[in-house]
Amino acid sequence: MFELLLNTAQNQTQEVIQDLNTVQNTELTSIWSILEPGLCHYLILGLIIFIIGLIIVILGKNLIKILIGFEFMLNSVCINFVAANTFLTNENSPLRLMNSATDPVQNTIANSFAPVQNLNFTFSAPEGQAAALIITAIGAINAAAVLGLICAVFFKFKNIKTSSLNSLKSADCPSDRDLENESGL
Amino acid sequence: MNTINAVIFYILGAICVFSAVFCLFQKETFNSVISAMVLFFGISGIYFLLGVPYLGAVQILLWGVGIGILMLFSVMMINKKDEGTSVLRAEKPDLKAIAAPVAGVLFAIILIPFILYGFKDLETPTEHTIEGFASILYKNNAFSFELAGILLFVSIIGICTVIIKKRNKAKNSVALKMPENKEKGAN
Repeated sequence: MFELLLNTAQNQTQEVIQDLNTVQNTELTSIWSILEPGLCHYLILGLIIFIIGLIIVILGKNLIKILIGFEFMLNSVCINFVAANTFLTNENSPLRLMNSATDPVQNTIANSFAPVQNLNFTFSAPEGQAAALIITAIGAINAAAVLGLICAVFFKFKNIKTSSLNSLKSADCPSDRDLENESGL
Repeated sequence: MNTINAVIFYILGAICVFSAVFCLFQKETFNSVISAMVLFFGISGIYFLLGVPYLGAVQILLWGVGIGILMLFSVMMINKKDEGTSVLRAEKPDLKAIAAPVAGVLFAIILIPFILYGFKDLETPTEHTIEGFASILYKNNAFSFELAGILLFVSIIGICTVIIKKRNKAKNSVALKMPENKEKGAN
């Protein structure tokens, strides 16, 4: 009688442990499916950098910092393009497999967290890369031109603070003659 | 492999976000530019992680080094302590004793895979990517590519015009001031 009770208790505990293990495994797999980097993760990273760049542009007190903010925004756009290129044009990408699946439940935004199983670095149409490269080139041109203009503004007004350069008329800002008169030349 | 990718992604993402936040809250422009360079290097790492090594290399060369050094030069050129642009403090603590071993350890970490696996065993999956990339760039996006080239050309001409104007103005002003100064000296 005692042995029977002991055996049943052992069986019950084993079943409970197995259930716990299965629950833990399912939880771990669900957490891992969210944590593993997918398209949404890269888009969220790009969004964070874009917002920080926008804040820098709005709150920037000198022109160079505003330029840095614009560059952050351009780079975040490039991240979005490249991530979309990688995850949408790859033949083995989960989104493409999900789009071809018959089950409509799988075609949800939440499934974009699914991991990439076979990322073999072969792209059928690297359109996003081309767009990112062109954006990079235009951003570099922008940075070079704006830095030249910032230097010109500094040589003219001896100042690159946005608080003192708030007028479009150059007469309101201190000119070269005013500065020369002030310095006694 | 996916676990390693995830770990690298989170490390690079943390570097990018922290450097961007550091740039946001930094008062000195010099430090902001340095943190922006760190962000650009982090983004190039993300490109490598996404399997786009060509864009990663372009990101390092163009943004991380080219634009970064250009911005540092301009910050140093317009360096004024009173204007709040940049402050290059002369009284910084001497960190050579810390910087040298840190740089040595980083260099050793970079060398470890080459020592373990050798240079020949490293397979670079770049050929197919660059081939397809070039075909897409020059066939489908030829117009935007040419447009970017024209924009670059026009911007170069514009920057040169601004700089040459400034130089001519400066020369004229110096030429005008010279006799006045001589007269003042004679008097």
